[in-house]
Amino acid sequence: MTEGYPWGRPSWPQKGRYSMCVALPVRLVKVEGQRGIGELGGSTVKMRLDLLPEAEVGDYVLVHAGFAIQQVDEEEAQETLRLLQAIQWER
Amino acid sequence: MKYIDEYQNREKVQALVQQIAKIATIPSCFMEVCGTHSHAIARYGLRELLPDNIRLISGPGCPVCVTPPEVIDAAIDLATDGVWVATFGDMMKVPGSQTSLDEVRAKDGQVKIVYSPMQAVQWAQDNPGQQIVFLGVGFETTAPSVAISLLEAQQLGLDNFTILAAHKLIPPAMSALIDQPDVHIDGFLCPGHVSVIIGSRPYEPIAAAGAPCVVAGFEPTDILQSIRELAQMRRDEKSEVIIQYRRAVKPEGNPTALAKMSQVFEPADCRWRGLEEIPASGLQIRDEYSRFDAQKRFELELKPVPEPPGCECGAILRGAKRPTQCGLFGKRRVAPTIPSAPAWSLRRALVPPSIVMKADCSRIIHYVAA
Repeated sequence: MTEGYPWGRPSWPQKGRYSMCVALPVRLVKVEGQRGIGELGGSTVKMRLDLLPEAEVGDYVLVHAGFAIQQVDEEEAQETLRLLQAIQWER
Repeated sequence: MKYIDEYQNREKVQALVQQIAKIATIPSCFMEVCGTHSHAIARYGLRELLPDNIRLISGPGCPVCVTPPEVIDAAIDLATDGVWVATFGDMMKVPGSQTSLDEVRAKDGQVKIVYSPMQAVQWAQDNPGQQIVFLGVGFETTAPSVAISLLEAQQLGLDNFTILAAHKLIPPAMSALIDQPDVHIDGFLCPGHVSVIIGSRPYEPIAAAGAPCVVAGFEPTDILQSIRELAQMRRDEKSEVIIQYRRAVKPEGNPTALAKMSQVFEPADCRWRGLEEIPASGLQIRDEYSRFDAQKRFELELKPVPEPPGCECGAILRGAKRPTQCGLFGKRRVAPTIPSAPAWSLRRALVPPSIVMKADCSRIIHYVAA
Protein backbone atom coordinates (compact mmCIF):
# COMPACT_ATOMS: atom_id res chain seq x y z
CA MET A 1 0.00 0.00 0.00
CA THR A 2 2.93 2.34 0.52
CA GLU A 3 3.77 2.19 -3.18
CA GLY A 4 1.03 4.52 -4.23
CA TYR A 5 -2.62 4.55 -5.04
CA PRO A 6 -4.24 1.23 -5.89
CA TRP A 7 -7.03 3.10 -7.66
CA GLY A 8 -4.87 5.05 -10.03
CA ARG A 9 -2.82 8.15 -10.21
CA PRO A 10 -4.56 11.36 -9.21
CA SER A 11 -4.16 13.26 -12.44
CA TRP A 12 -6.46 16.27 -12.06
CA PRO A 13 -6.87 19.13 -11.41
CA GLN A 14 -3.97 20.79 -13.11
CA LYS A 15 -1.86 23.28 -11.22
CA GLY A 16 -3.50 26.63 -10.75
CA ARG A 17 -6.97 25.49 -11.76
CA TYR A 18 -9.82 24.98 -9.39
CA SER A 19 -11.86 22.24 -10.85
CA MET A 20 -15.19 21.23 -9.46
CA CYS A 21 -15.92 18.12 -11.49
CA VAL A 22 -13.22 16.02 -9.94
CA ALA A 23 -12.90 13.88 -6.84
CA LEU A 24 -9.48 12.78 -5.65
CA PRO A 25 -8.53 9.90 -3.33
CA VAL A 26 -6.91 11.28 -0.19
CA ARG A 27 -5.58 9.40 2.87
CA LEU A 28 -7.18 10.67 6.06
CA VAL A 29 -4.55 11.47 8.71
CA LYS A 30 -6.53 13.42 11.32
CA VAL A 31 -10.17 13.67 12.36
CA GLU A 32 -11.55 16.45 14.59
CA GLY A 33 -15.33 16.28 14.77
CA GLN A 34 -16.66 17.25 11.33
CA ARG A 35 -13.25 18.32 10.05
CA GLY A 36 -10.59 16.07 8.64
CA ILE A 37 -7.07 16.50 7.38
CA GLY A 38 -5.83 14.31 4.59
CA GLU A 39 -2.61 13.72 2.74
CA LEU A 40 -2.27 13.55 -1.04
CA GLY A 41 1.12 13.09 -2.64
CA GLY A 42 2.86 14.99 0.15
CA SER A 43 0.44 17.91 0.40
CA THR A 44 -2.17 18.50 3.06
CA VAL A 45 -5.85 18.54 2.17
CA LYS A 46 -8.47 19.95 4.53
CA MET A 47 -11.94 18.47 4.25
CA ARG A 48 -15.32 18.29 5.92
CA LEU A 49 -16.65 14.92 6.98
CA ASP A 50 -20.38 15.81 7.23
CA LEU A 51 -21.24 13.49 4.33
CA LEU A 52 -19.08 10.61 5.55
CA PRO A 53 -19.48 10.50 9.34
CA GLU A 54 -18.06 6.98 9.62
CA ALA A 55 -14.64 7.91 8.15
CA GLU A 56 -11.62 7.04 10.28
CA VAL A 57 -7.94 7.91 10.29
CA GLY A 58 -6.12 5.76 7.74
CA ASP A 59 -9.07 5.50 5.32
CA TYR A 60 -8.69 6.58 1.73
CA VAL A 61 -11.56 8.92 0.95
CA LEU A 62 -12.70 10.66 -2.23
CA VAL A 63 -12.68 14.43 -1.71
CA HIS A 64 -14.89 16.68 -3.83
CA ALA A 65 -15.39 20.45 -3.27
CA GLY A 66 -13.87 20.23 0.20
CA PHE A 67 -16.05 17.33 1.32
CA ALA A 68 -15.23 13.66 1.73
CA ILE A 69 -17.96 11.92 -0.28
CA GLN A 70 -17.04 8.23 -0.06
CA GLN A 71 -14.50 5.77 1.23
CA VAL A 72 -12.42 4.00 -1.39
CA ASP A 73 -12.91 0.28 -0.94
CA GLU A 74 -9.48 -1.33 -0.99
CA GLU A 75 -10.77 -4.87 -1.52
CA GLU A 76 -12.74 -3.77 -4.56
CA ALA A 77 -9.72 -1.86 -5.86
CA GLN A 78 -7.62 -5.03 -5.56
CA GLU A 79 -10.35 -7.07 -7.25
CA THR A 80 -10.46 -4.69 -10.23
CA LEU A 81 -6.67 -4.95 -10.49
CA ARG A 82 -6.86 -8.75 -10.30
CA LEU A 83 -9.34 -8.81 -13.19
CA LEU A 84 -7.02 -6.55 -15.10
CA GLN A 85 -4.06 -8.85 -14.44
CA ALA A 86 -5.96 -11.73 -15.99
CA ILE A 87 -6.22 -9.98 -19.35
CA GLN A 88 -3.32 -10.65 -21.72
CA TRP A 89 -2.43 -8.89 -24.91
CA GLU A 90 -2.16 -11.34 -27.78
CA ARG A 91 0.71 -10.28 -29.99
CA MET B 1 4.55 -4.55 -9.94
CA LYS B 2 3.59 -1.08 -8.77
CA TYR B 3 -0.10 -0.33 -8.27
CA ILE B 4 0.28 3.18 -9.52
CA ASP B 5 0.83 2.26 -13.14
CA GLU B 6 -1.69 -0.54 -13.39
CA TYR B 7 -4.71 1.46 -14.44
CA GLN B 8 -2.73 3.16 -17.18
CA ASN B 9 -0.69 0.15 -18.26
CA ARG B 10 -0.09 0.18 -22.00
CA GLU B 11 -0.29 -3.60 -22.50
CA LYS B 12 -3.52 -3.81 -20.54
CA VAL B 13 -4.98 -1.01 -22.63
CA GLN B 14 -3.98 -2.83 -25.82
CA ALA B 15 -5.34 -6.12 -24.52
CA LEU B 16 -8.67 -4.50 -23.66
CA VAL B 17 -8.87 -2.85 -27.08
CA GLN B 18 -8.28 -6.28 -28.65
CA GLN B 19 -11.05 -7.82 -26.57
CA ILE B 20 -13.44 -5.01 -27.47
CA ALA B 21 -12.68 -5.49 -31.18
CA LYS B 22 -13.61 -9.19 -30.85
CA ILE B 23 -16.82 -8.55 -28.94
CA ALA B 24 -18.06 -5.53 -30.90
CA THR B 25 -19.75 -7.33 -33.80
CA ILE B 26 -22.64 -4.87 -34.11
CA PRO B 27 -22.12 -1.15 -34.86
CA SER B 28 -22.87 0.73 -31.64
CA CYS B 29 -23.02 4.29 -30.45
CA PHE B 30 -22.23 4.77 -26.77
CA MET B 31 -22.49 8.03 -24.87
CA GLU B 32 -20.09 9.05 -22.13
CA VAL B 33 -22.36 11.26 -20.08
CA CYS B 34 -19.71 12.83 -17.87
CA GLY B 35 -17.37 15.66 -18.89
CA THR B 36 -14.52 14.16 -16.90
CA HIS B 37 -14.88 10.96 -18.93
CA SER B 38 -14.79 13.06 -22.13
CA HIS B 39 -11.60 14.63 -20.82
CA ALA B 40 -9.98 11.27 -20.02
CA ILE B 41 -11.02 9.76 -23.37
CA ALA B 42 -9.43 12.67 -25.23
CA ARG B 43 -6.39 12.79 -22.97
CA TYR B 44 -5.55 9.12 -23.51
CA GLY B 45 -6.64 9.04 -27.14
CA LEU B 46 -9.12 6.22 -26.48
CA ARG B 47 -11.54 7.23 -29.23
CA GLU B 48 -8.88 6.51 -31.85
CA LEU B 49 -8.02 3.14 -30.32
CA LEU B 50 -11.54 1.77 -30.53
CA PRO B 51 -12.70 -0.33 -33.49
CA ASP B 52 -14.77 1.38 -36.20
CA ASN B 53 -17.85 -0.41 -34.96
CA ILE B 54 -17.89 1.66 -31.78
CA ARG B 55 -18.65 5.35 -31.83
CA LEU B 56 -18.33 7.35 -28.62
CA ILE B 57 -20.31 10.55 -28.26
CA SER B 58 -20.03 13.10 -25.45
CA GLY B 59 -23.08 13.87 -23.37
CA PRO B 60 -24.39 16.74 -21.28
CA GLY B 61 -22.56 15.81 -18.06
CA CYS B 62 -20.68 19.03 -17.59
CA PRO B 63 -22.33 21.35 -15.06
CA VAL B 64 -20.49 24.34 -16.47
CA CYS B 65 -21.73 23.72 -20.02
CA VAL B 66 -25.35 23.15 -19.14
CA THR B 67 -25.88 26.17 -16.88
CA PRO B 68 -28.21 28.41 -18.92
CA PRO B 69 -27.07 31.98 -19.69
CA GLU B 70 -29.87 33.58 -17.64
CA VAL B 71 -28.39 32.13 -14.44
CA ILE B 72 -24.97 33.55 -15.27
CA ASP B 73 -26.61 36.87 -16.18
CA ALA B 74 -28.37 36.93 -12.80
CA ALA B 75 -25.06 36.37 -10.98
CA ILE B 76 -23.42 39.08 -13.09
CA ASP B 77 -26.26 41.52 -12.30
CA LEU B 78 -25.84 40.81 -8.59
CA ALA B 79 -22.07 41.33 -8.78
CA THR B 80 -22.48 44.67 -10.58
CA ASP B 81 -25.07 45.78 -7.98
CA GLY B 82 -22.64 45.50 -5.07
CA VAL B 83 -23.45 41.97 -3.98
CA TRP B 84 -20.41 39.75 -3.53
CA VAL B 85 -20.57 36.55 -5.55
CA ALA B 86 -18.66 33.34 -4.83
CA THR B 87 -18.52 30.40 -7.20
CA PHE B 88 -16.35 27.56 -8.47
CA GLY B 89 -13.45 28.54 -10.73
CA ASP B 90 -14.93 26.63 -13.67
CA MET B 91 -17.82 29.12 -13.89
CA MET B 92 -15.72 32.26 -14.18
CA LYS B 93 -15.07 32.30 -17.91
CA VAL B 94 -18.42 31.00 -19.09
CA PRO B 95 -20.24 33.78 -20.93
CA GLY B 96 -23.79 34.78 -20.10
CA SER B 97 -25.68 36.67 -22.77
CA GLN B 98 -23.30 39.67 -22.60
CA THR B 99 -20.25 39.06 -20.47
CA SER B 100 -18.70 36.65 -17.96
CA LEU B 101 -18.06 36.75 -14.21
CA ASP B 102 -14.36 36.90 -14.98
CA GLU B 103 -14.81 40.16 -16.88
CA VAL B 104 -17.02 41.58 -14.12
CA ARG B 105 -14.28 40.79 -11.63
CA ALA B 106 -11.68 42.43 -13.86
CA LYS B 107 -13.75 45.66 -13.78
CA ASP B 108 -14.90 46.20 -10.20
CA GLY B 109 -17.27 43.44 -9.17
CA GLN B 110 -16.45 41.35 -6.12
CA VAL B 111 -16.32 37.80 -7.43
CA LYS B 112 -14.46 35.14 -5.48
CA ILE B 113 -13.35 31.72 -6.65
CA VAL B 114 -13.91 29.07 -4.03
CA TYR B 115 -12.96 25.42 -4.01
CA SER B 116 -15.62 24.53 -1.46
CA PRO B 117 -19.00 26.15 -0.69
CA MET B 118 -17.86 26.30 2.95
CA GLN B 119 -15.36 28.99 1.93
CA ALA B 120 -18.30 31.13 0.81
CA VAL B 121 -19.94 30.65 4.22
CA GLN B 122 -16.66 31.68 5.87
CA TRP B 123 -16.52 34.75 3.61
CA ALA B 124 -20.02 35.72 4.74
CA GLN B 125 -19.07 35.17 8.38
CA ASP B 126 -15.99 37.40 8.00
CA ASN B 127 -17.97 40.19 6.33
CA PRO B 128 -21.17 40.80 8.30
CA GLY B 129 -23.39 43.39 6.67
CA GLN B 130 -22.23 42.46 3.18
CA GLN B 131 -24.62 40.30 1.13
CA ILE B 132 -22.88 37.26 -0.29
CA VAL B 133 -24.35 34.93 -2.91
CA PHE B 134 -22.95 31.51 -3.70
CA LEU B 135 -23.65 30.48 -7.29
CA GLY B 136 -24.20 26.76 -6.78
CA VAL B 137 -23.77 24.66 -9.89
CA GLY B 138 -23.07 20.97 -10.24
CA PHE B 139 -24.81 17.62 -10.31
CA GLU B 140 -25.58 15.19 -7.50
CA THR B 141 -21.86 15.05 -6.63
CA THR B 142 -21.86 18.69 -5.56
CA ALA B 143 -25.41 19.37 -4.36
CA PRO B 144 -25.01 17.60 -0.95
CA SER B 145 -21.94 19.75 -0.13
CA VAL B 146 -23.90 22.89 -1.01
CA ALA B 147 -26.77 21.64 1.18
CA ILE B 148 -24.34 21.32 4.10
CA SER B 149 -23.10 24.87 3.55
CA LEU B 150 -26.68 26.15 3.73
CA LEU B 151 -27.30 24.22 6.95
CA GLU B 152 -24.03 25.61 8.36
CA ALA B 153 -25.09 29.18 7.51
CA GLN B 154 -28.39 28.51 9.25
CA GLN B 155 -26.61 27.17 12.33
CA LEU B 156 -24.33 30.23 12.43
CA GLY B 157 -27.40 32.49 12.13
CA LEU B 158 -26.03 34.27 9.06
CA ASP B 159 -28.41 36.71 7.39
CA ASN B 160 -26.00 37.73 4.62
CA PHE B 161 -25.51 34.38 2.88
CA THR B 162 -27.73 33.06 0.09
CA ILE B 163 -27.43 30.46 -2.63
CA LEU B 164 -28.33 30.88 -6.29
CA ALA B 165 -29.08 27.21 -6.94
CA ALA B 166 -28.57 25.91 -10.48
CA HIS B 167 -28.02 22.25 -9.62
CA LYS B 168 -29.03 19.58 -12.07
CA LEU B 169 -29.80 15.88 -11.94
CA ILE B 170 -28.26 13.33 -14.27
CA PRO B 171 -30.80 10.45 -14.56
CA PRO B 172 -33.69 12.63 -15.84
CA ALA B 173 -31.39 14.06 -18.52
CA MET B 174 -30.31 10.56 -19.56
CA SER B 175 -33.95 9.48 -19.81
CA ALA B 176 -34.66 12.50 -22.00
CA LEU B 177 -31.73 11.58 -24.28
CA ILE B 178 -33.00 8.06 -24.97
CA ASP B 179 -36.07 9.44 -26.71
CA GLN B 180 -34.24 11.66 -29.21
CA PRO B 181 -35.32 11.20 -32.82
CA ASP B 182 -31.96 12.07 -34.39
CA VAL B 183 -29.48 10.37 -32.02
CA HIS B 184 -29.76 6.73 -31.15
CA ILE B 185 -27.79 5.76 -28.05
CA ASP B 186 -26.98 2.06 -27.58
CA GLY B 187 -25.53 2.41 -24.10
CA PHE B 188 -24.33 4.82 -21.47
CA LEU B 189 -21.04 5.21 -19.63
CA CYS B 190 -22.52 6.60 -16.40
CA PRO B 191 -20.67 9.28 -14.45
CA GLY B 192 -18.53 7.79 -11.66
CA HIS B 193 -18.67 10.54 -9.07
CA VAL B 194 -22.37 11.30 -9.50
CA SER B 195 -22.91 7.59 -8.88
CA VAL B 196 -20.78 7.74 -5.71
CA ILE B 197 -23.69 9.78 -4.30
CA ILE B 198 -26.77 8.32 -6.04
CA GLY B 199 -25.58 4.72 -6.43
CA SER B 200 -26.48 2.58 -9.42
CA ARG B 201 -30.20 2.05 -8.83
CA PRO B 202 -31.45 5.28 -10.46
CA TYR B 203 -30.11 3.94 -13.78
CA GLU B 204 -32.30 0.85 -13.68
CA PRO B 205 -35.30 2.46 -15.44
CA ILE B 206 -32.91 3.63 -18.19
CA ALA B 207 -31.53 0.11 -18.66
CA ALA B 208 -35.09 -1.21 -18.63
CA ALA B 209 -35.90 1.21 -21.44
CA GLY B 210 -33.25 -0.51 -23.56
CA ALA B 211 -30.03 1.43 -22.96
CA PRO B 212 -27.47 -0.60 -20.95
CA CYS B 213 -25.58 1.40 -18.32
CA VAL B 214 -22.06 0.91 -16.94
CA VAL B 215 -20.85 3.11 -14.08
CA ALA B 216 -17.26 3.80 -15.06
CA GLY B 217 -14.09 4.95 -13.33
CA PHE B 218 -11.78 7.54 -14.83
CA GLU B 219 -8.54 5.75 -15.70
CA PRO B 220 -8.00 4.44 -19.24
CA THR B 221 -8.44 0.79 -18.28
CA ASP B 222 -11.57 1.67 -16.28
CA ILE B 223 -13.12 3.31 -19.32
CA LEU B 224 -12.12 0.48 -21.68
CA GLN B 225 -13.39 -2.21 -19.29
CA SER B 226 -16.68 -0.33 -19.17
CA ILE B 227 -16.90 -0.08 -22.95
CA ARG B 228 -16.20 -3.83 -23.13
CA GLU B 229 -19.10 -4.47 -20.74
CA LEU B 230 -21.37 -2.31 -22.89
CA ALA B 231 -20.30 -4.06 -26.09
CA GLN B 232 -20.82 -7.44 -24.46
CA MET B 233 -24.33 -6.56 -23.26
CA ARG B 234 -25.16 -5.28 -26.73
CA ARG B 235 -23.88 -8.49 -28.36
CA ASP B 236 -25.83 -10.63 -25.87
CA GLU B 237 -28.93 -8.41 -26.29
CA LYS B 238 -29.03 -7.65 -22.58
CA SER B 239 -29.72 -4.33 -20.95
CA GLU B 240 -28.55 -4.08 -17.36
CA VAL B 241 -26.78 -1.77 -14.94
CA ILE B 242 -23.19 -2.77 -14.15
CA ILE B 243 -20.80 -1.01 -11.79
CA GLN B 244 -17.25 -1.10 -13.11
CA TYR B 245 -16.06 1.63 -10.68
CA ARG B 246 -16.67 -0.65 -7.73
CA ARG B 247 -13.90 0.76 -5.57
CA ALA B 248 -15.95 3.93 -5.10
CA VAL B 249 -19.56 3.22 -6.10
CA LYS B 250 -22.04 1.16 -4.12
CA PRO B 251 -25.52 0.29 -5.42
CA GLU B 252 -27.12 2.40 -2.69
CA GLY B 253 -24.72 5.36 -3.09
CA ASN B 254 -24.04 7.57 -0.08
CA PRO B 255 -27.26 7.64 2.00
CA THR B 256 -26.05 10.46 4.30
CA ALA B 257 -25.37 12.71 1.31
CA LEU B 258 -28.71 11.84 -0.31
CA ALA B 259 -30.55 12.64 2.93
CA LYS B 260 -28.86 16.06 3.27
CA MET B 261 -29.56 16.82 -0.39
CA SER B 262 -33.27 16.09 -0.10
CA GLN B 263 -33.52 17.87 3.26
CA VAL B 264 -32.53 21.16 1.60
CA PHE B 265 -33.51 20.73 -2.06
CA GLU B 266 -36.50 19.42 -3.99
CA PRO B 267 -36.63 18.43 -7.67
CA ALA B 268 -37.92 21.04 -10.11
CA ASP B 269 -38.32 21.40 -13.86
CA CYS B 270 -35.17 22.89 -15.22
CA ARG B 271 -33.70 24.39 -18.39
CA TRP B 272 -30.35 23.07 -19.64
CA ARG B 273 -28.23 25.33 -21.82
CA GLY B 274 -29.02 24.65 -25.44
CA LEU B 275 -31.68 22.06 -24.56
CA GLU B 276 -35.36 22.22 -23.80
CA GLU B 277 -36.70 22.20 -20.27
CA ILE B 278 -36.41 18.70 -18.80
CA PRO B 279 -39.03 17.71 -16.20
CA ALA B 280 -37.75 17.29 -12.61
CA SER B 281 -34.14 17.60 -13.75
CA GLY B 282 -33.05 20.40 -11.42
CA LEU B 283 -32.98 21.19 -7.71
CA GLN B 284 -34.59 24.14 -5.99
CA ILE B 285 -34.26 25.18 -2.35
CA ARG B 286 -37.21 24.02 -0.24
CA ASP B 287 -39.60 26.65 1.16
CA GLU B 288 -38.46 26.20 4.76
CA TYR B 289 -34.98 27.40 3.75
CA SER B 290 -36.23 30.22 1.47
CA ARG B 291 -34.31 32.87 3.40
CA PHE B 292 -31.14 31.32 1.98
CA ASP B 293 -32.52 31.34 -1.56
CA ALA B 294 -30.92 34.15 -3.59
CA GLN B 295 -33.73 33.97 -6.16
CA LYS B 296 -36.26 34.86 -3.47
CA ARG B 297 -34.15 37.36 -1.48
CA PHE B 298 -33.19 39.42 -4.51
CA GLU B 299 -36.43 38.70 -6.42
CA LEU B 300 -34.53 37.42 -9.43
CA GLU B 301 -36.49 36.55 -12.53
CA LEU B 302 -34.70 34.03 -14.67
CA LYS B 303 -36.08 34.59 -18.14
CA PRO B 304 -34.70 32.30 -20.85
CA VAL B 305 -32.16 34.08 -23.04
CA PRO B 306 -31.67 32.92 -26.65
CA GLU B 307 -28.24 31.71 -27.74
CA PRO B 308 -26.36 33.69 -30.42
CA PRO B 309 -27.26 32.76 -34.03
CA GLY B 310 -25.29 29.80 -35.30
CA CYS B 311 -24.68 28.38 -31.81
CA GLU B 312 -24.95 24.59 -31.76
CA CYS B 313 -24.54 24.04 -28.00
CA GLY B 314 -27.75 22.05 -27.80
CA ALA B 315 -26.89 19.63 -30.58
CA ILE B 316 -23.38 19.21 -29.18
CA LEU B 317 -24.61 18.52 -25.66
CA ARG B 318 -27.14 15.98 -26.98
CA GLY B 319 -24.42 14.20 -28.93
CA ALA B 320 -26.02 15.03 -32.29
CA LYS B 321 -23.02 17.08 -33.48
CA ARG B 322 -19.30 17.28 -32.83
CA PRO B 323 -18.00 20.62 -31.49
CA THR B 324 -16.14 21.25 -34.73
CA GLN B 325 -19.48 21.17 -36.57
CA CYS B 326 -20.57 24.31 -34.68
CA GLY B 327 -20.79 27.27 -37.05
CA LEU B 328 -19.16 29.47 -34.39
CA PHE B 329 -16.19 27.19 -33.81
CA GLY B 330 -13.05 29.31 -34.03
CA LYS B 331 -15.02 32.31 -35.36
CA ARG B 332 -16.08 34.63 -32.61
CA ARG B 333 -13.46 36.47 -30.62
CA VAL B 334 -13.71 36.48 -26.88
CA ALA B 335 -11.57 39.01 -25.04
CA PRO B 336 -8.80 37.22 -23.18
CA THR B 337 -8.98 38.13 -19.51
CA ILE B 338 -6.94 36.68 -16.69
CA PRO B 339 -5.26 33.70 -18.30
CA SER B 340 -3.47 31.01 -16.36
CA ALA B 341 -0.91 30.61 -19.14
CA PRO B 342 -0.04 32.56 -22.30
CA ALA B 343 -0.95 29.67 -24.59
CA TRP B 344 -4.30 29.44 -22.91
CA SER B 345 -5.09 33.10 -23.53
CA LEU B 346 -4.01 32.86 -27.14
CA ARG B 347 -6.33 29.95 -27.73
CA ARG B 348 -9.11 31.58 -25.77
CA ALA B 349 -9.03 34.61 -28.01
CA LEU B 350 -10.22 32.52 -30.93
CA VAL B 351 -12.98 30.38 -29.54
CA PRO B 352 -16.73 31.01 -29.42
CA PRO B 353 -18.86 30.77 -26.28
CA SER B 354 -20.21 27.38 -27.19
CA ILE B 355 -16.69 26.03 -27.30
CA VAL B 356 -15.46 27.82 -24.21
CA MET B 357 -18.24 26.12 -22.34
CA LYS B 358 -17.33 22.59 -23.26
CA ALA B 359 -13.71 23.61 -23.22
CA ASP B 360 -13.57 24.25 -19.51
CA CYS B 361 -14.08 20.60 -18.77
CA SER B 362 -12.80 18.88 -21.87
CA ARG B 363 -10.50 21.40 -23.42
CA ILE B 364 -8.52 18.91 -25.44
CA ILE B 365 -11.41 17.91 -27.65
CA HIS B 366 -12.54 21.39 -28.40
CA TYR B 367 -9.25 23.09 -28.95
CA VAL B 368 -8.16 20.72 -31.66
CA ALA B 369 -9.32 23.11 -34.37
CA ALA B 370 -8.89 26.37 -32.45
